[in-house]
This record gives sequence, C-alpha cells and structure tokens, in this order.
Amino acid sequence: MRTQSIPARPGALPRYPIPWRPMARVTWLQQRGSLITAAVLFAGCALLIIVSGLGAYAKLSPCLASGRGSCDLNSLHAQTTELTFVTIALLVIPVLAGMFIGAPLLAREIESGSFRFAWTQGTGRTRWVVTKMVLLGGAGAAAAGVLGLLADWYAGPFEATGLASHWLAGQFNVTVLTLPAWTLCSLAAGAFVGLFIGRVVAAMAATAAFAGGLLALDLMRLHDRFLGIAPGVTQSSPSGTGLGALNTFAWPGGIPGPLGSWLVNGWYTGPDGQRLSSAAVSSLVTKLDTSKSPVALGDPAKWLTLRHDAYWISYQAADRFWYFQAAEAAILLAVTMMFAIGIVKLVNRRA
Amino acid sequence: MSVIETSGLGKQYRDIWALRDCTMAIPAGRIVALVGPNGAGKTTLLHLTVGLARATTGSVTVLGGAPAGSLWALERIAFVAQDVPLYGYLSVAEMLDLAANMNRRFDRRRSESRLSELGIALGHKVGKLSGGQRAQLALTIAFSRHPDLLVLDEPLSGLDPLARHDFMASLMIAVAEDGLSVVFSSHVISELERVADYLVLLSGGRVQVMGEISELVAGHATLSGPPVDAGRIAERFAVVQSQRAGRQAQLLVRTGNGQGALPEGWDSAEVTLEELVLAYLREPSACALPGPALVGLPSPKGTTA
Repeated sequence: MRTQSIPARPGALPRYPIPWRPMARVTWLQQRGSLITAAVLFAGCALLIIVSGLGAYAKLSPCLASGRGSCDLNSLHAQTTELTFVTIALLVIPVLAGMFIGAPLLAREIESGSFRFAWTQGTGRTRWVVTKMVLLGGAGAAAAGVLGLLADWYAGPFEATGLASHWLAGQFNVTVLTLPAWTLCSLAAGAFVGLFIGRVVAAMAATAAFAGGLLALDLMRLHDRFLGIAPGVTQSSPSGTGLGALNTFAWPGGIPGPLGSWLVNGWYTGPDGQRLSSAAVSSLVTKLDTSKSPVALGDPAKWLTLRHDAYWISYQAADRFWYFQAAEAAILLAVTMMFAIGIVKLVNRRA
Repeated sequence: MSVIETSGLGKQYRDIWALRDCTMAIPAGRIVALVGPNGAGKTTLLHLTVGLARATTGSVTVLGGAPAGSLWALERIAFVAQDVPLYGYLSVAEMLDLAANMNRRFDRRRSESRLSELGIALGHKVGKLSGGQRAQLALTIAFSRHPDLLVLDEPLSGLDPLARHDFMASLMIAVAEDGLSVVFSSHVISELERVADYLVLLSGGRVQVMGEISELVAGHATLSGPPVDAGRIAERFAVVQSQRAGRQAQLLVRTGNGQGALPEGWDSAEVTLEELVLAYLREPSACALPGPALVGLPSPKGTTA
C-alpha cells in the first residue's frame, strides 16, 4: 500500500488575496474576441464623434459668436441630423455590449459544460465570476465614459445655439454618467440572463429584448416622468409654449423660461389665482392672438398681468441637471448591483 | 486520514434522489475505482466532492476535513470532468496559460514537458485535438496543479482502446511520481483492475460495496457443486449471487477470512474483480461494506467485513 502525506488543514481556512492580475489574463484569454470587437467599435464611435464634432464646431462657430438668430437654420440641418445619428449610435452601444459581451460571458460556459473546468480550479467560482465581472465592467464603463465625454463635447455648440439640449431624452442618456451606467446595467443583465438561460443565442436575444426594451421605455415614457419630479414653478411668458405637459427646453430667443432649464408643465391662472378651465384658456389665447395691442405683441406676460391673469410653468433649473444625471446613474447602478448579486448567488447555487 | 469522508450524504434533483444516505471514508494514498450502473450516482458523488454540487442532506469533507468546494480544497483537488470540457477556441499553450493563472501551484514547465513527450503541439487549437489528446491535455493540466487528490469522472469514455491504454499508463506514471490519491469513475471494469486498489460500488444512489480490492477479491469465492448442497452453503456464507445450470450450482459468496471445508463435490475458485463487480451489480440488495455499520441498505443479504 502506498502512503501519502496530506498537508494538515489549518483550523481556520486561510484568506487568499484576490488574484486580480492572473484573472485579468484569464479574462483576456477567454473574452479577447469580444473585447477586440468592442475596442474596434469603441474606436469607430470615438472617431465618428470627433470627426462630426470638429465639423459641427466649424459650421456652428458663427452662431456661437452671434447667437442662433443669426444662423441659417436650414444650412445646419445636416449637422443636427448627424447629432441625432451619433446619439442613436451611442444609445445602442449598451445594448450591443449586453448582447455580445454580457450574454455569452456565462452562457457559453454553461452551454459547453466548461464551467465544470472553470469552477473547479484553485481560483474558486465566486472569485472567478466576480473578478471577471469587475474587470469587464470596469473596461466597459471606462470606454463608455470616454464616449460620454466626447458626446458632451460634441453637443456643446448645439446646446449653446439652442439647437439641442442635454435635457432631451437621447442626449440625457449618453453623458459621461449615464452612458457608463447603461453599459454596466446592460452587461450585468446580459450576464445574468446568460447564466439563467444557459444558451448563448437565446441569452443574446433575451438581453437585446430586455436592455433595448428598458432603454426604449425610458426614452419614450420614463424620461419625461423622471424629469417631472419636484420641479420649480415660475411665472413666464406664454409665447411659444403651451398648455399641459411641455417636455421641452428653454432657449434664448425661442421658448421662454429660465436659462438652460427643462420645462415640465404650463398652465394659466385667472384673477382669483385658480387654474383656468380649457374653455377659458382657449378664449384667453384667442384674445391674445388677435389682440393688436403693442403690449400683447411685445410682452404677452405683461398683457396677461394687466388682465390679472398669468401663465405659469413648472421646470427643472439648469443647475439640477447633474443631480438628475447622478440619480439616473444611481438607479441604473442599483439595478446593476441586483443583477451582480443575482449572478454570484446563481453561480454558487448552480450545480 | 481520509481524502473523502461523507456522512449521510444525499443529493436530490427535483423529486429524484441521485445519491442518498452515503456514508463512507476513503483513505489517503489509494487509487479508488468508483463503479456503478448508469444513474447510480457516481457523477453526483464526484461533483459533491469537488464542490460542483451542493448536498441536499448530510455532509462531505475532503483531505482531512476541509469542506468540499472551499478554496483550500479547490487548490488541492484536481478534477477532470466527463467529456473533458476544455476551451476549444484556445490553443494548447493558451489553455496551459489559463490553468496556470487559475492555480497558484501550477507547474508550467512540467505540463509543457509532458505534452512534448505525448507529441501534443502547444500551438494546436484544443478544439482540433482528438478525444485521446484532449483527455491527455486535461490530465496534464490536472497533474500540473500538484493536487493531493485527483478526481476523474469517466475519463475513459469515448476513448478508443489505444487511447484508453495510453491514458491509464500516463495516470499510473504520474501517480507513481507524485503519490497522490486518485478517485475515478468508470464503466470499463477491466481497465480498473489494472490500476485501482480500492473499490467503491454505487447502486441506486447508495454505496453497495466498498473496500480494498485485494481484500474484497480475497474475501469472495465462486463455489460450484451439486445443487442439493446449495442450501448448506448458503447457511455458512453470504451468497451474493447464485446460478443453477442442470446438475451444477454456482454461488458467488462472501467467504470473509476463510471458507473452511466444503461439502463433497464442491469446488472453490477465486473471483476476479470484474466477476465480483458484475455479481453485485446484478444483485442490488447485496452489499459488502467495512464494519461496524451497514451503510444505506435496508435488508442486506451480505454482511459487514
């Protein structure tokens, strides 16, 4: 009979340092295909933004010097279309990251059975999955952050001339804070779905449906409701605005409102300070539109004041923008954390 | 010291028990053959041992008491899963790189030297290797981790006879060099006999036979003689399996320390491991377990050793 000496097991199992560098190498070996593709995509997007941005700055420089009123808006159509295109491209990036990096991350291991190799190595399955998520998430967030910064720079002249606003749903979701948050959320959702389903293609489709659906829901519904939380209220001029939900931004020489603010709602009040009914508003607006009084034409707000009526708006002040950015990023990161915790729990339960 | 110790271990998948009431202690320094029919619970037991599955009931500890699946245990147990799941899109060198970065005790030089001896080029894609080469690569990675316990789940399945022979030869050489403990499951009983010195036979999710192979073989015999005396034989020995053909009865019995004098006309023959295993597989209610406790069988025909 052969004999074997087994090292005595310590009473309390030792704590090992987290193997970041070795796991970075492991992550690179296993994910390099999707990482290289992502890097190419990132470089392409960055180049697109820089080229478009330089063109926009050149084209919009006269407007920047003298204001939007002196610009030929028709000649800027190509630039605003390009801004819309770039914004949409940036919005799609988190969804693609979730589909092509997040979803296959664990689904491929489950589908091929290689998790039985990975989870029985010395690293341990919890460290394996946590370090992978942190490394890939960190790289994804950093890349998205750079693209967000470039997007902010690119949109600068459009905002300065009132052609666009970072309050608008598209631009709001591609800033230096929200784009990395969306990317992390989509990556985590993809990894969770992949682990849960255990099939790569199905996980990619489910991730696209979830991340794309959530983004679409935000752009079409949630964004305006989100910006309607606890607005400020001020009296304003009714010129160019409307009644009820406004969901637009104030810009000099155009829609009146506090500079750089997001307008939430507009309504009229009568001499008794109560909101006017629709019929009363309709009558009032008709009178304003048909009045030939110089006051009505020059300063509608003053015209209303003289009648003891008033037009009010609720709005988000310009200085609240980053609070809302931080709040949305925090919500997305909370969702990301929930997925991450779910992944660690599922990895430990899966057997 | 036990390399694997279980107590009342059970694993349930939905409403099916893959393993239940499994209590055993496998001593260190053995090459343990884990055999049993399909669905006997072999893979489940191995997965519980390496931390890939969690017990529904009972407990399993490894290498002298470490919880299965703990980091301490994972560093010291190498596992080669059924079908050898490796990363087919990596080259052999990258696969070694991957393993080296996931195991602090990994010996890169040893793995490269072994693969060179086996004629497996480092530049080849793992997915392009033959089944035998993949198995050898997995075994090389496992050995290069310098494990105290090597766990192999059906390592011979899917291999042709030559690849099977080469694999077992590699296993024997490495075991001789390192003196590690090995637990491996297999259907190929003839291959086990050459290399294993300890047997665990699972059936229906329970341990049916366990012990040193030499003692098990020495403690059993095939007795043949006139059927009229078969009853007397059965009174003296635990009969594992009986067969009657015309005027001849053949009983595979558990003789224990000795069989003494047999009735006239009865002969005794040694059993092979394969005969012994097949006899117990055909009689799931029989058992042969180390004393003092019977493990997991409600009405055993056999006795404890």
